[in-house]
This record gives sequence, C-alpha cells and structure tokens, in this order.
Amino acid sequence: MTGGGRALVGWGIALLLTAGVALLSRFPAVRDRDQHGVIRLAWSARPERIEICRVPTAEEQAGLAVHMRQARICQGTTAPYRVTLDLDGATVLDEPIHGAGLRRDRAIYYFHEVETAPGLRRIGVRFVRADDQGQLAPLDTSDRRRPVPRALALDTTLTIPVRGVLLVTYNPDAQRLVLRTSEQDPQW
Amino acid sequence: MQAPSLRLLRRADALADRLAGWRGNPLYQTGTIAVTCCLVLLVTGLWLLLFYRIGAPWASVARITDDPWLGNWVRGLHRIATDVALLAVVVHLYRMFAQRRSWGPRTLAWLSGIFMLGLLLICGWTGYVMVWDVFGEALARDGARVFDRLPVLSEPVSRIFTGETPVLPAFFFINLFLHVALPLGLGLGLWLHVSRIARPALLPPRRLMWTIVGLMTAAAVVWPMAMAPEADPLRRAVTIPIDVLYAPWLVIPGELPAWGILSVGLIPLALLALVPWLTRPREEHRPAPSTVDEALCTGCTHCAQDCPWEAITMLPRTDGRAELVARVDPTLCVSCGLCAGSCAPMGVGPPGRTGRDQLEQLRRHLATSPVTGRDVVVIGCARGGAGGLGAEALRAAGARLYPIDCVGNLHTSVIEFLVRGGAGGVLVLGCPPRDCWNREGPRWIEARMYHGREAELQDRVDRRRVHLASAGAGEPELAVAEFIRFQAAVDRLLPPEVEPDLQLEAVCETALAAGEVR
Repeated sequence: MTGGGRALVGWGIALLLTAGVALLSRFPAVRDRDQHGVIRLAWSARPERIEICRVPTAEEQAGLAVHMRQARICQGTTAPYRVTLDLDGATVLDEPIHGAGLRRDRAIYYFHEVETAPGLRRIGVRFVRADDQGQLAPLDTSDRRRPVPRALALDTTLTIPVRGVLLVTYNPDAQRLVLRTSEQDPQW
Repeated sequence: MQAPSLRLLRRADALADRLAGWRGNPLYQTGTIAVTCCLVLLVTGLWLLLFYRIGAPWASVARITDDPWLGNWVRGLHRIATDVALLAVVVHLYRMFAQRRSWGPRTLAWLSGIFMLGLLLICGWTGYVMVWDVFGEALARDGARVFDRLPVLSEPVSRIFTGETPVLPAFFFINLFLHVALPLGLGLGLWLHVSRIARPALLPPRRLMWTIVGLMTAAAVVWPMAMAPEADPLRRAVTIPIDVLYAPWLVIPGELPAWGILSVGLIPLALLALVPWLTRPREEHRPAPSTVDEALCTGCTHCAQDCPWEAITMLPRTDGRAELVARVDPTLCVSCGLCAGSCAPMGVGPPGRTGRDQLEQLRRHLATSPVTGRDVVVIGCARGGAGGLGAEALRAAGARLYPIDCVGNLHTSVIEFLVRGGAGGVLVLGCPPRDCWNREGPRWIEARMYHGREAELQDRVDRRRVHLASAGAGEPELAVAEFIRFQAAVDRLLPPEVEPDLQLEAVCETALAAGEVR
C-alpha cells in the first residue's frame, strides 16, 4: 500500500472511531420493554415515641454525682408500624416498618414498589401502628412535632396507565395518605 | 497478564504506525490527548455554564440545544470530549500497565492517575445529572441507591427522587458545584501525576492535537445533539439515550442492585489502585538503580540535567576536591540508564550498563564477530524498530544488528569505538521520540551525536559514517529503508581506517587527570 493509501485508511479508521465514540455517547438503551405500571409507596413520617420510665432508687441516686441525678430515668424507642397493600381485593404486600437507625429511634423512611398490569385497579393502602389493639390512649395532636397518626388508609379505584407510576405518599400537614401521578400524562 | 497485554499493544502500535507514522500515532499520546480533551471541556464548559440555570435545568439545556448555530455543537463537543478523555485515560492506563511502568518510583504517577480517573468519572456523572433528562435521572437514582448502601448519611438520598416532592434547586446547586469544583481536583491530580518528571509533555504534537479537536468538532456538528425527555420520577422510560462509557451498567435492562453498580463502578477502580503492588517484580528481578563512581565524577551536572526523573542531585564533595559530586536517590531512579550516556568519564549508570560496561560488552561482541569496512552496524532500541519484526527485517536486509535497551543510555564512545575500529558505518535506530519508555532517550542521543551535548560524539569521529533515525515497533519497513539508504551512502565512501586496540576509557582518564573533562 502506498503512503497516500495508508493515510486514507488511517483517516477512515479515525472517522469510524469518532463515529463509534459518538454512538456510544448516545446509545439508545432499552430500560424497560414491559408495559406494566408501578405502585410506589414512599414516605417519611415521624413515628410515635414509646418511653418506659421509672423512678430511680435512693441507692442509685446516691451512686451518681449530684449533677447527674434525675427524677425519672426513661428508655425510649419508636412504635412499630405495619403497611399493607391490597390490589383488587388481594393483599400483595404486608410488612412491618420500624424507625430508621440501629436503635430504630429515628424517622420512618419507607420505600417499596409493586409492579402491576396497567388498567383499572382497586387499590387499598393501610399504614397502622402494629401494637395498637384499640386500647392505646388518643394522641395529643396539639404537639408541634406530632407523629404520624396510628392508622392511615387510602382506598381508591383508578386506571394505571402503561409504564406509569402511581405514588402513594404521606402528607404530614393533612396527616393522610395521598396519591401523586405524573403531570405529563393526560390520563391522570 | 502484562506479557499478552504488551503483545496486543505492540500490534495496535504497529497498525497505527503503519497508517499514521509515529508522529501521528495517537496511541503514543494518550496522556496528552486526555489533557487536550480536558482543555476542550474547560472552554466549552465555561460557555455552557453561562446559560445553565439550576432552577430550570432541563429547560435551560434544551434552550442551549435548540440553538443550531452555536449552542448545539458546543454542547455536542463538550459531550464527545468527555468520552474521548475517558477513552484516552483508559488506553493510557493500559499502556503503562503493559509496559510495566506502574510500580516503584512510578507508583505516585499511577495512583494519581487512578485518582484522576475517578474524578473524571464523577465529573461525567454530575454533568449528565445536570441536564436532568431521563438519563440524568437514571444516573442520579442509581447513585443515590449506592449512597444509601454506604453508612454515610442518616437519611436515604433516594428519597429525593421518589416523586414525593419536586427535586429542589439545592440538589442541582450541589451537583453543579461538584461538577465545577472537581476539575480543580483534576488539576491537582495532574500536578501530582507529573511531579516526578523533569520535563513533562502535556500536549500532543500540534498536528495531532488539532486533528483530534477537529474530529470531535466535526462529530458534534454532523450529528447534532437532541434532548432526551425531561426526567419524571412518575414515568418509566422505555429507552434512554445513555453514555455507555460512563454508565455501562445501564445497558442491562431493568434495575441493577446497588452492589452490582458498585462492582461495575468502584471495584475496578479499587483493583487498579493495587496494580503497583501486584505488578512489582520480586526484589531479585528489579532493575538496580544507577550508582556514581565518585572518583570519576567531575561534577559537570549533566547526569542530573538529563535524568527525566529528577533522581540525581549534585552535592558538595567530602573528599577535598572542589567540584560537586552526583548522588542518585534510589527511591526515584527507575534504572532507565539515560545518565550513563550523559557522563563523559563514564562514571555513572546502572550496574553493568555504564559507558565502561558498554565498551566492555562491545569488545566481547566484536571478539566473536568482528566487523569489516563494509558493515553497517545498527545499534537499535530493542523496544522500537530494531526489535521484533524490525530485527528480523534488518537482519534479512544484511544489517549487523546490535540491540540495546535504549538509545538514550548508549554512550557515544561505543559509536566512536565502532567507527574508529573499522566498521563501515553505525546507524543508531531509536524509538519514536514520543514513545520512549525512558521518556527522553531519542532527544538526548540526538543532542549528544549532533549538538555537542555531554557526552558528545567526538569531532574525531567521521560523521559520514554515523546516522541517527527512529522507527516504531510496527515500522520494520521504515527501519529497513533507513538502513538501505545509509548503507548506500557508506558504500560510496572509501574503506575506513582501522585503529586497533582503542582504549577510550584511558583517553577519558587521561583527560580527567589533566582537568579537561567538564
């Protein structure tokens, strides 16, 4: 091959490589061929705090420095909750939820996605305090840092579009579960 | 793994040399091409920054993209330069790994290179998130899922992208800040990367540089950018235009678990960081650093000037002589041997490779196969055109091949010994200047042969009988062509005079005693 021929082949390869890089830079990757929709349960909420308190004995108080003595000693955690999702009357999700952190004493961050066929669906979401058998005292809702109510429910029937996401989340101001959907889709 | 990697690299080099010649071979220039791309990214990025709004990321980028005269191709150039930079860095890493230039004194350069690769990836990811299209959203969600697996933040980052609330401008501000601030880290990394090199080359030869910039610009103009749909956490996209080089895991349909993304993204980086220790030869196989014979050292400083690794310093003597003395730092010396060629009295170099050792080895070689006045001896770099295919081709063409490690550590006394000893001519065949394993071998041998640099080729050597050329490992035809041309020139000369029993070391010592060697 002559020098000119080689240069031509060299330029050809350079152009091909450039086109290859440009193609890889905008490669149309198929992420999801399925038509299914998604029900996304996602919220954060402050759980109720449970404290077990006792009055320290005189011996215990005597063993402590003066500035460390307390009238009551409390150990606290957060209440357990349970979330269920019913789809067309069938329970597809039922799991316990606890506060975040190793001691489970932080806010609840919940995230779960359930894939479902598009179309008209009856949806029921329950988020309830797991240890409430009806005997717990009513919540003080005047508290500025009020926790999530002991029982939240959402029941609705709607059409889940192809590849749409139905978000069920918690509105702390209204203290109820709410639905959010894409603004881009006219079906919602 | 390094031997097959080197074979593959040599084949690629050979192909590129044949097509573009060593001057245009981009494989020799991967590091400097990456720097060029970073400069292109800097210029185009500053321009794009003028029009980007964190309050409306997708809309502002869409407005840039809609401008067909300037905005679209500047954005396209910014994007393709990102990819070319990453490719150049990966090939550069591969080259250094295959050529066993990844351990010992080069460890800092290797690790800073890995650091810069990590920063480049993060810069790329944050750049794609800035656009806030479906690809940016996929990257952000995956990044958040990985973050949530790491015990760093108490609140899961993924919450930002569930759709509970719109993504706040604060997120885009932090993302933009990272995208702009991390390149400063790249600058710091580059400084570290070349900090142990005396004269780093930061840019490729101009012709190659503008060719690459031109090709990237042409790609940006010919294939205009198009906006992908805006990110929407409440819609699932069917296809996403992804950058495979920056997010290869997104090619796999569905959602990869966080550990899968980590293994694709971070584990290879962590393994690469271990390469200096994994590839370090056993102590008995490591090339020994240079040493200095202090009795011969005249304090001329040329070895310190020529060392590409700044491993030699000049210190005051303690033996009563007035001049300085060279001292080699063994932790910085890579045993390239360039100092051996720089020392007129032949008192410095790696053990067994000083100028005196080279003369001794040549004498032994000539004792078994003497040269005649018709012979052209090719002293060639075994890693370049005089190795492999080039060696076979040169021998077939009738050359007397004398392979050496690097023409940069060839002492000019060896050339003198051959020419005055009766060889018809000496062809010094080096590697392409931009592919010298020891960085500056071809540069120094040229200066020593033709421009009087210490240790210069003496005037008493007939210049018609010496010639310097370069050829890459993949250019055997070029090596043979240089040989044939030079052989023809030598054939036209009268037979050389033979000076038997030359003792060039003795000449040197006499001059040293007389104080003539400086």
